[in-house]
Amino acid sequence: MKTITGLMAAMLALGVSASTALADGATAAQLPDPPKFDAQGKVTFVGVGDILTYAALPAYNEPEFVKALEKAGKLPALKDRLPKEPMVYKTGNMKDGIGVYGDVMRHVIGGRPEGWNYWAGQSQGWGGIDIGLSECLTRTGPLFQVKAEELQPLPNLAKGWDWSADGHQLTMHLIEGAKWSDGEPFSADDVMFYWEKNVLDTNVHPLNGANPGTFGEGTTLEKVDANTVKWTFKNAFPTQVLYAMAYGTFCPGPAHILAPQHPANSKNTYDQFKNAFPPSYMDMPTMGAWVVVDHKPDNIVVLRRNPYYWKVDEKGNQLPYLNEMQYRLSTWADRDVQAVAGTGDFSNLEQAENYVESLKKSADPAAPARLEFGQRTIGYALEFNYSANGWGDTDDRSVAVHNLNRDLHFRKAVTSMLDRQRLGESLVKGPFTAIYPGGIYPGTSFYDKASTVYYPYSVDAAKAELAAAGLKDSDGDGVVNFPKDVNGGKNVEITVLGNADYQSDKSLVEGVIAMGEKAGLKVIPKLLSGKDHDAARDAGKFDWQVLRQGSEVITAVQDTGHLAPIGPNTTYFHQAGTDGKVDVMDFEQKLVDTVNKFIGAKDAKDRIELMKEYQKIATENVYTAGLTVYPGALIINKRFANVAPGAPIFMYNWAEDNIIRERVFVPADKQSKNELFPDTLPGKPGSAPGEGLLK
Amino acid sequence: MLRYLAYRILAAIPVLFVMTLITFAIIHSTPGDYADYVAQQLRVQGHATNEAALAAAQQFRIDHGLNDPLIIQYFRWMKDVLTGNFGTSYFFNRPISEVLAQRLPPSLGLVITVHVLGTIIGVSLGIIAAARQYSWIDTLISFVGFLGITTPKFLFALVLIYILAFKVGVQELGSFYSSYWSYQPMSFGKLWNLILHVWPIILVGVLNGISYNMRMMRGNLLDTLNAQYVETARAKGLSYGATVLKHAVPNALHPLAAYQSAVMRYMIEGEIETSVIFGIPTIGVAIVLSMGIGDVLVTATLMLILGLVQIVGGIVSDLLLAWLDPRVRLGE
Amino acid sequence: MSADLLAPYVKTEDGTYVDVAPLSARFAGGDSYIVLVWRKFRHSVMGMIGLTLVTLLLLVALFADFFAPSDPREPTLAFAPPDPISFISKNGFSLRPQTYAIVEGDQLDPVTFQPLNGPDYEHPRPIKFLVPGYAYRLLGIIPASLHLFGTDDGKPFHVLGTDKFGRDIFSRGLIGARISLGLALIAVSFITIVGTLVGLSSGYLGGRYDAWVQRVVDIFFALPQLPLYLSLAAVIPVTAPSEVFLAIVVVVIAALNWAQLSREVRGKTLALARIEYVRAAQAVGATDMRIILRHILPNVVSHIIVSITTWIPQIVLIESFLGFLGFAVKPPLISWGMMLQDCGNFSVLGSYPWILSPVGFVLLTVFAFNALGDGLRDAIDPY
Repeated sequence: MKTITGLMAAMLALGVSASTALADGATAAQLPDPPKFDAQGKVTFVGVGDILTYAALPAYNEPEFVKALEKAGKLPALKDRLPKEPMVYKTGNMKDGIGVYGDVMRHVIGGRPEGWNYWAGQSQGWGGIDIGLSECLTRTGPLFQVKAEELQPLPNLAKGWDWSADGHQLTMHLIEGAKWSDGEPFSADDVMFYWEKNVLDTNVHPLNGANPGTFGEGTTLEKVDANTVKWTFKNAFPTQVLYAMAYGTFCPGPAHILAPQHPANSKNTYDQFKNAFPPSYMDMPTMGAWVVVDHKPDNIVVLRRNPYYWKVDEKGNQLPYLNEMQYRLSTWADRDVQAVAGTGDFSNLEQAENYVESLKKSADPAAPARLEFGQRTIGYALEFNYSANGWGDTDDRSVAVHNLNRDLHFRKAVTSMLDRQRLGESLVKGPFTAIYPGGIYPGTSFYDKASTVYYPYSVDAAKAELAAAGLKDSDGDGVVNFPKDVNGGKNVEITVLGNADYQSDKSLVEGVIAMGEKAGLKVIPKLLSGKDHDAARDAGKFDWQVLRQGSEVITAVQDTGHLAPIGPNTTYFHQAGTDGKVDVMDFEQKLVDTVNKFIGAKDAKDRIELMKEYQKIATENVYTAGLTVYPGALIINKRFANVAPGAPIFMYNWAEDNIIRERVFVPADKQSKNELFPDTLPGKPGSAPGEGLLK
Repeated sequence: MLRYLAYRILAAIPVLFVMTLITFAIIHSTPGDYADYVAQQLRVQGHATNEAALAAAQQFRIDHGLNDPLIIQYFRWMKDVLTGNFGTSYFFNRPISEVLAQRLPPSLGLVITVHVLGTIIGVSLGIIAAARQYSWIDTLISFVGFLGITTPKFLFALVLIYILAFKVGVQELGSFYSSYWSYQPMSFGKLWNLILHVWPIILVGVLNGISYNMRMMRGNLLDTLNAQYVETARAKGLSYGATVLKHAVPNALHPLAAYQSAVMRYMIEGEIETSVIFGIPTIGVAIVLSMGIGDVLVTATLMLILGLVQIVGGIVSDLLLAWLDPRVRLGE
Repeated sequence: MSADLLAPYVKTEDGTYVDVAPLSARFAGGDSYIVLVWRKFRHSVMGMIGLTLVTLLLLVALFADFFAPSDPREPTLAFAPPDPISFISKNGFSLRPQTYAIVEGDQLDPVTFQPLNGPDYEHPRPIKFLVPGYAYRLLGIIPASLHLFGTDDGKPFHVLGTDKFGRDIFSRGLIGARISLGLALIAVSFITIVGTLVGLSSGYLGGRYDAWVQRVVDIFFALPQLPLYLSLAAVIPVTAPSEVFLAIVVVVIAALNWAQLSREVRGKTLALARIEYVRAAQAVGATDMRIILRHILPNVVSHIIVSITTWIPQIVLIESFLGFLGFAVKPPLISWGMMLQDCGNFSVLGSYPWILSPVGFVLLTVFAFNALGDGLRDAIDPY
């Protein structure tokens, strides 16, 4: 009696209505609206044309020190360095308008540069270095502010594209007359080199895994002229592929530097090609806004402005506004602390546990940094291992549990036993977290509440569903047992995999365990850190897993294949067994069909309908049991202007891309003296660290 | 003496061999490897598809021989150890010897500072506490000792960084130097910048070291003070203070000398939590980092170094014992 | 040094030494010795405080459910501060203390967006002894629902506030003592026994035996602890019963940590074994066993006691760390180490400091064992 009153008192205090009738089983209910959260930045939704255009302007401008270098004859005239029609950012889309030159953005990252050959698979240490160095055919990061009706990747190196009438051919027009940061011209040859010698050459493995299949099986690419390339696809109108041409998989490298080292043109082995541009190789040509000019191992990477950058503002000021980018080489956790303290300028705060203190700190007028909350695009789900085909553990208990996972009654029991309000609050109280039943996230433009089936929290319903699944507590120890003929009629014990590196993941696992206990399930934590966690996950060695989900549920248009088991290992919880096949259930087959239709759909309306259908099937069948969603917080130093409100830390890409760093600036009165190489420009490719500077 | 030293060094070789073998096996027995980390980075940082990430991991295993039998990997590493470069770090993509050359000296400097301060202050406090047993000074010192031992270091470090970053707004966080100073030649300004960066680590470490040394010293000194020869010395007219310092203290130092064999290792491992929280790139942090991502050769090398430190510490401690007490003969 | 050093040995006329102190009076375990120790111990204030606290801790650990005012697994208001206790209510002063439940309104803090909360002063709840509460099994056997103290309105009483799931921290701390103290005591016993035996024998016997033992110690010392724990966490199936896990944890902790104590004991033994009175005892033909027990062990005991008291908190912390690796105590089991894991974020430090309570539990434990240890150390040599 005491426990029940205690619970009810708690519920009343929390303003949660207790489920009314003692349900026979789980019944769907109205999904409560996410709580109103005033700190969330208001995104102004615009069309692509409102953000940028390509045009020749009457006059161009550049920082004073660059002018001086130009005068000294060390640099060609600005007009000759810019393309015929540079990309022009519209002032209307810039929150604080036209900027001024100067200052630096100081990042802190946990990665280390392996080298500069991104195209052969070397990482630059992440944290936005490679995002900054990579200019790609299209761009996705800023799409968070694009209207749903106009949603498609932004033009970038490809300033426009036309589909042929039958939808099998796509002609792309590249920016004309643009130059690499060493002054060499950029052309279709760079694109073709990337395609032929990096993507098609199966001995080369670009970072982020671009391969011919990334752009559709059987796709070909050919050069039409110096500024035009033409794609040919097997399917008609594979519009989805435009997303694959953005950051990650189609950012061509400088062919004039790379090609001579490629095994096709030299005596190098593929390994020598990969390592031809080691971390000590400075001034690697890029199309990006900043060029790496110094690298002190384990300490810092410094980038200076690219004098050949091909983007300008409406007044003709050559971008970027910021002269320098710094990357302190530390740890990822250190990034949050340094951004809060003001020794770093930028961090993607994802751990909800630290929101309250960060907000407290930023409220102080003297505090260096502020927090920018985006849409609720960070979310966790409980995923069921559906494989009854030999993927993962194959002992009796595991197989029995996997078979339970395939039973809708069991999944309904699990989703009903979860008190999502409480799970969210265990991370952070207040209006940050929202109830998330599963499927795609509410922050996604494809989200439709009416298509979302929600089974509310009810321990009674959970118990009823467990009974319907044939599970009864036959030995009276509080834990339900398997039927006599399954796994010896033992207690139902379920392992739940979680990532031990993050407090949020651990808290959610702990919550699932406690809630399982109430419903009569013995849930056992399997907390592993980092690589061990991923190894266990990729091998399917779990019954359930608490997982922070990726792009597929955030945008639906990226990594769409992860939404259903359309291939042997596209999802993280249902993969092919020993026979190479995925043992998909009926509803999963429907999901697969819907996702495949979505990928092939050309019409925006069809896509919206298809995603609604997906959401309905996925949530009705408890494909995954959603746990909680909440917004990430961008910690950014207060001195920066032109940071779009509501920029999510991760949506179509990471915040480093989303905020369009090349047009971020620091007003003159707030500029710091943190530039390490003031009044200098990048030098010749291959210089020693810190030594090739043009000054 | 020299013969003894030679014997100890020779005896260390098989110990090191067995140790590296065990360590290597242990490090490799965790389910994941660096290829899993590669895949994870591709998925999380580059939002690559699962298939692409898994393919990249497989490629990495092939390229770096991670699928080879363990014993082959071991001897491959041993070969690198004997040539002195310890293999290549996957994460840093450069020879491990370079990583060591960069991280070892400042780490050792830090650890030795902590150790010397901790020992001197701790031993002194222990002597004071024992000499004034049951006085308020004794109580106070003992209380600080309790705190130092009981408070988890990670918590202490967290409280410190919380105050420094969230409350005070200190600008010297992470790394050994601020960006500006890391470009300057050594000077007083740079040294001061270094101190501003590392003092929290020294503070946490020293407090811990003080507690241990203080408690050990106090306990042992009280023992010796009760021994008859001390009373005899007093009877002979020596002052209390002189008795304590001349007769009791040297005898109470034995266990501390024995402790030196373990101390370096404990210091290096002991600064890990604090350094991780403060983002200082020490050897300890490299251990945790490399282990977390499966940069196995780095872990193995650092463990080898720790083992070496351990054994050298053992020898030094035995020599110290002999020096403190001539009655102990070496190598009997 | 004078002949005093050799007391209670007396040089006989033929130049040999004779032990004049009756053995039974010192170490043979005779009543008089125990009585002497106890007499001295009784006079040590700290020692008595320590003894009382340790006894109390052990009692609490054994009968945790009886002492716990609230169900440690029952979720209520999350992150609630401790319920205030007062002798003054709206009805004026009363000898019976009143407590007020923490309630939460709809309003949010404008900066942190945290729901504002505070005590419900409208509803004072008298605190009483021996009240009925949640049902439990005393010592795991006898069904009971009586609790030492609490409020009799059947609602939970949060002495130290609640954790992230709204569970009572005080009660969890009491229940957690069971596993944490048990684990620490058993592991410390192993460490002490093995470390002392190895250290004594190695230091006393010396020679080839010492050399071999020390090389083994070297290897144990050099075992990489963190990787070892990680790999063990991976090797033992997660579905193994908790008892098996705990047993393995104890064995592993002991196996990895006896080496240091053994080194220290050896160091001390090495010195003592060569001191004149020991040589004298050897000269008069005392057996090794007798010499070790009578002359060496008493002199290393104080070191061992100090070492034990430093090991106990360390093992609680190791346990916390292992739990973090998913190896050891796992939810829904409760231990201090588990609770300490919740302390690792800034919000706890800045906004929910009561969640740091487990540190207080550990502190209290260390203090208790230290005080007891100090008292014992002084009393063990009553002469």
